[in-house]
Amino acid sequence: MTPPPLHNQEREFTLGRYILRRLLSVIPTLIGVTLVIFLFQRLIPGDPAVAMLGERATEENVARIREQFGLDRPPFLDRDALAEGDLAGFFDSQYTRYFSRLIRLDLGESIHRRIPVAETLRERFPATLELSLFSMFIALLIGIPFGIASASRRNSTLDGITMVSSLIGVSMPIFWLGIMLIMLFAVLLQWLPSGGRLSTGIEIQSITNLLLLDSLITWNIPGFLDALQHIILPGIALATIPAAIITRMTRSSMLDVLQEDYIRTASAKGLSERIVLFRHALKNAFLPVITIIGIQVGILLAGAVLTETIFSWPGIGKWVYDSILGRDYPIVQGVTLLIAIIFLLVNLVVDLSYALLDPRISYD
Amino acid sequence: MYKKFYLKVFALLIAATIMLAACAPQATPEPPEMEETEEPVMEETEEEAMPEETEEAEETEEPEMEETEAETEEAGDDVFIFGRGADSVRLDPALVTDGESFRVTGQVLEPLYQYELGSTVPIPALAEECTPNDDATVWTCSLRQGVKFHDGTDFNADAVVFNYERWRFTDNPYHYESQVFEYYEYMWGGFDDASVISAVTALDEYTVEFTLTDPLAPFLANLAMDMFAISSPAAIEAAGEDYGLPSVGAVGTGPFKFVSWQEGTEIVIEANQDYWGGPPKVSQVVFRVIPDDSARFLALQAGDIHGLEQAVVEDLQTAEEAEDLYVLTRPALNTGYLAFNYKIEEFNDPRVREAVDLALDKEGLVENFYGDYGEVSTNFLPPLIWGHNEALEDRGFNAERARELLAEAGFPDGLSEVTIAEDLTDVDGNVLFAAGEKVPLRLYYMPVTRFYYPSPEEIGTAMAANLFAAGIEAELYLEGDWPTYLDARRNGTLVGLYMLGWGGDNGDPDNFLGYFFSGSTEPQAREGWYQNVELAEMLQEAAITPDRAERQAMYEEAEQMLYDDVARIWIAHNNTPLIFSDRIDGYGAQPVGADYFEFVEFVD
Amino acid sequence: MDEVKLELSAVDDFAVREHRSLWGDAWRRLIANRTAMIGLVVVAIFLLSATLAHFFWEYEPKMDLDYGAKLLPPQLVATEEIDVHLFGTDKLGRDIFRRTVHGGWNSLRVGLVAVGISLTIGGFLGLLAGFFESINMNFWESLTLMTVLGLAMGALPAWIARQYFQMVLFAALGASSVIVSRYVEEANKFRRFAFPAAGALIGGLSGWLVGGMVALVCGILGLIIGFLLAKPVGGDLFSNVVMRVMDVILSFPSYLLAIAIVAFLGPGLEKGMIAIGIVGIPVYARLARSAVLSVSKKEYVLASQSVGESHGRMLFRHIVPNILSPIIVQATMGLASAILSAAALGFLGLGAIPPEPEWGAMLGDSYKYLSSGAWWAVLFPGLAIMLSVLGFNLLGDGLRDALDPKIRL
Repeated sequence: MTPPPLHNQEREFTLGRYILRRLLSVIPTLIGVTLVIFLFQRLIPGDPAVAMLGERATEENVARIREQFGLDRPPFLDRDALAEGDLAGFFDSQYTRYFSRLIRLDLGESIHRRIPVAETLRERFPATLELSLFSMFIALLIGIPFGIASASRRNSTLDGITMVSSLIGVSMPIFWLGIMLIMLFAVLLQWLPSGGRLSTGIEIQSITNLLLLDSLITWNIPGFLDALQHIILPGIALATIPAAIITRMTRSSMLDVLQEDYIRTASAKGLSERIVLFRHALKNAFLPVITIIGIQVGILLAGAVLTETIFSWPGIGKWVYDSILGRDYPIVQGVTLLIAIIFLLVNLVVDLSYALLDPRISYD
Repeated sequence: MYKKFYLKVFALLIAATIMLAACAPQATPEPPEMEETEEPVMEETEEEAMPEETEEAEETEEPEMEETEAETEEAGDDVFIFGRGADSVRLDPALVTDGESFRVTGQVLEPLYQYELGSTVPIPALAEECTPNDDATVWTCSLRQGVKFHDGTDFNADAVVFNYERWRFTDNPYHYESQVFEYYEYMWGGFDDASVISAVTALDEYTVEFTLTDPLAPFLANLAMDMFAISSPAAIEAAGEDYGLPSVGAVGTGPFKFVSWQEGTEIVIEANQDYWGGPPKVSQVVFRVIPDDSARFLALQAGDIHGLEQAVVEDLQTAEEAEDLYVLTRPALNTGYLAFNYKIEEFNDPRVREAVDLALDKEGLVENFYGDYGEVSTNFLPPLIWGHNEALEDRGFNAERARELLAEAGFPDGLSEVTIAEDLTDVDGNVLFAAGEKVPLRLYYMPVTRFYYPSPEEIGTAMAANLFAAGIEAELYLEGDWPTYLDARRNGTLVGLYMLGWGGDNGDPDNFLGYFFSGSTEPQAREGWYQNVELAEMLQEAAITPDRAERQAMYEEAEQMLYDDVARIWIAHNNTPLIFSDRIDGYGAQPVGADYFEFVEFVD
Repeated sequence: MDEVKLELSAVDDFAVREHRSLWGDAWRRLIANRTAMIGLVVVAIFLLSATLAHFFWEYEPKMDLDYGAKLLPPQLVATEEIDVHLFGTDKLGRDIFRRTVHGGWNSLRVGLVAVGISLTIGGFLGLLAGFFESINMNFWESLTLMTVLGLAMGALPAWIARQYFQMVLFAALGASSVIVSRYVEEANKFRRFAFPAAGALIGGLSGWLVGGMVALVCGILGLIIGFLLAKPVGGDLFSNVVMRVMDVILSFPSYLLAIAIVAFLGPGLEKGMIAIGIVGIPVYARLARSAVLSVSKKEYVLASQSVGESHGRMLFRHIVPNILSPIIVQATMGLASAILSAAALGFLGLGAIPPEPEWGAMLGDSYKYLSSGAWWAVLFPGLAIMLSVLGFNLLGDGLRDALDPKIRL
């Protein structure tokens, strides 16, 4: 039996508790994430020291680097130390060292380059963030209007074209689209640059390192335009799948809502199509769309390795992929943790907006 | 209603894009001629629809192009932008082993000697002359006077001593625990007392004396290596452990000064107007990272960069035919090979090894995967290095003969399974493959592109197909990614035929043959358990013989030995191609060491 | 009397109509849906061509090499020098049409097996999670769960002390917890002390065999385990834990996880299948769980519970058939995304080992030749991926419409 809907004040109170509970439940999940990453480290063959030293690695150097980074310690617990009665040594493992640094918000240093992970993250993450937000913006710009339009004109030509295009959108490999875009716009037509974030010689003062934003804040119009030129092609390539998904979701959600009785009532009452759509249908159709947006943002933020490679976009996607291949564990740990936090937060926000927008939903 | 809204938005987007392209400043102006030359190349390869569109675009583009060109003429006309596949690791050359780091430090820092433009001969740089004593154990170098580091401090003997001692002594305050001075150990034998250089003393302000424990024949060649370039002691003292990181960069005496490093994106260096050899012709050089080969070439075609290294063979052909691009090669100082794992019984029969050699179509590989820029190897040493034995010739491509040899060796039906001769263990001692076990014959290919193998997966596939046609049924195998592969090779656990290669560091034959085989008095894990006592002893001696002619004879003999024994199959040397826009002239491509950028100029 | 009879027979006639099941209805709706039919046809073409080619069209990729024919554009008509190459040739002179068709066998298989893995494991987990959340566990289920829990928790002290027999003892402890709750009334006080004590004893004594410190640590661990095992775990907790684990898997970006798994397992098509399969598990787990939750609130399930039906019967007769539709729809869409993921892995060089043809790998091999104009080497495998994925998506859409009884046509 579902409990009766709560009054507003009661809702706020429970809402607060709900948020708190959700935030707290994030912690064990995050701990789980760190454990899994460590587990992989143990299981994946290959050594960061060897990766770093390449064809010229010698035994001594490999051993030295391993010791430097604590890689000679066991991953989780040192049972041999315990067998000898050494309790402190028992707890001195790669994981505990990592965890104690993490508590102090120290993400460690890259094994290959000795640059603190946090520093590189601060530089590279905004690049991915900017690209994701921009792609999401394009996806929404395309998806929502088309979704609404084709829902309201079901089975028309527009609907047909929209459905087909969106299906093609979800089915197309991004890397292929990326190369085609470069060939067309950068090489053939020479309208847009072929990669990177900014042309050489253009400077934008770095505040958030989100170039479009920073250039607007400092009113640097040439910089803004240059950054915009560079972000368009990768933005479009990345936006294809979310745009297609959002279109489909909006359409199907609108279709569901449009069939509801209250819509027919509103129509029957003689309200114009526009009012029916926007005032009544949209609000209720939006819920599933928001969920999808949330999921997509999460996916985009995880960094599209292939897009970043093709467009030489200095974000976290390719960086973390290279780090996996180079066994640069601190980077992999740092980035994965960040992404996990973002995913969890995004999920939380989506769930919350659900709860806020639909008074029927109770917090269980 | 929505349709209208929709179309409006779309139209706006397209309009905005066009406006952007036209109005935004482009630091690297695109000359109008470029579009005309693009057309003929494109027409052959694109569908019919394209040419019409580009014509229209050209008309609207041209007038705007002129505007932007005029605007930006002063701003960037002599900034040379070079595209590369990966970022530098660190700008302290003593600590790194990757070519991308040396590419940059080679312009900012200088060693005492350098390699002559276009060759591997060491000539004076920061040192005016280095003379040995009679038994080549003491070298006295007189240094160039009046040279200053980029931070204003003087270059003198103390600076040289500071740098060499920093590298050599593990208790030196600037020799940090976390740092690996790999090349010092490798070229000079070790640190502290293990170092061949037993003392570096400043005799006076501009004279330095190097005392060696043993005569070291390649001494000058070693001095000229990028890793032993002299950095400003003041800068090292100021930066401490951070020297070489993006925030600090490098401070030296070179033709260019470090300006900035945006990690993962680009490094900017500017001309040093006070350079002792005269200022460079361009005002700035930008090293831009474009990881993908195709994208890099497209960037060059689009004019976003002016030069690049390493491209796909087909793109090279396009570049050769294009009117506004040209190709330079870096003479090869590398060799790609296919090695045997001698713990496989069948490989211990020289007839089997010869059969594998005959089965491979090396000419075909070179022609198709290296383009005009590779050459089939007959020696381990590339032709450019003295000690290369001219008399040796490739055995050729003869699948029939290969089959005959196999039959003689006892494999009339070909070879598909091989037997392990001895236990193969991993680092912890666990037995991976037991003696007597039969395993399928594998051909291990590399997971990454290296300068000695431009496309290892395809080359490996082609090799396997060649072998198959001769009755050797090798199965392609990927051991894992690069670190895993290297690990396995080091431990000798690549069970079969495996691909790898080597690039020279200093132009000396010991750097090739010595590094690989002077330890083969015992079977070495890292060289596939190959053992050849005679060869090892000769190489050890050659490393300490001061007379060059004697050494040359010894190395040629060594190559003959390897050839007769079919110890390993040398596939090809790769002359790395560099492609440039025809606006650029004067690039000095070096076989070893960093390229010369100081003569680069724009000629349009 | 006669009148009544007449009425009865009329009712009889009326009742004996054609039996229309849910599935039959769905099938009918599916057939009527034109786009779904297109999807079905496309999927059928791909599956059939891949299978028939694999078994009947000879192709030995290991011998396929012809430098003379490299990078030829599509040739529809044979000339003296060149054979027919419908889709052109690639860098090694191999016919792309043949490789694309044969590649279907590999690429499609990865999708199918991967989804199979995700579905069975994820679906099973989600089913159990949802089921035990709504319905209390009976004796045997509880027993199994607690035994397994004991075994799992006991692994830690066992590993530390290297005394693995402990795991069995802890498993027994878990089992006894269930037995105690069932048969012994008023056992709370006893439980609160006895179990932790027993745990501490097991841990401590086994640790003692190794050393003093070990005994201490294992003893403490045993104490905690005993405490946790004292009261049999409820279905809610079980479901919670399972879903948390799913969350952990979900928090990893899927491509990273797949790459990491492949790095661990090694390259090869089979490993790729496992990697993509594992990454997909949480999706099906969540889906199954929420479907089960909504189904178990229905009256017929409550009814069968009150009648005392066994859990197994309830699951298979009532619950599973009713959660099938969202799962089937998800599976079809999941196939589409699995094929895309397989292509991405292949593109990165982590898929099939050369020279086995696989669409993603073919794309990865040939896309560097695009800048020199060899569009065919990239277009056709790309199209193959796109069309097969499209087919599955269309089919999935159609299935969703067909299986959802609320949609009016």
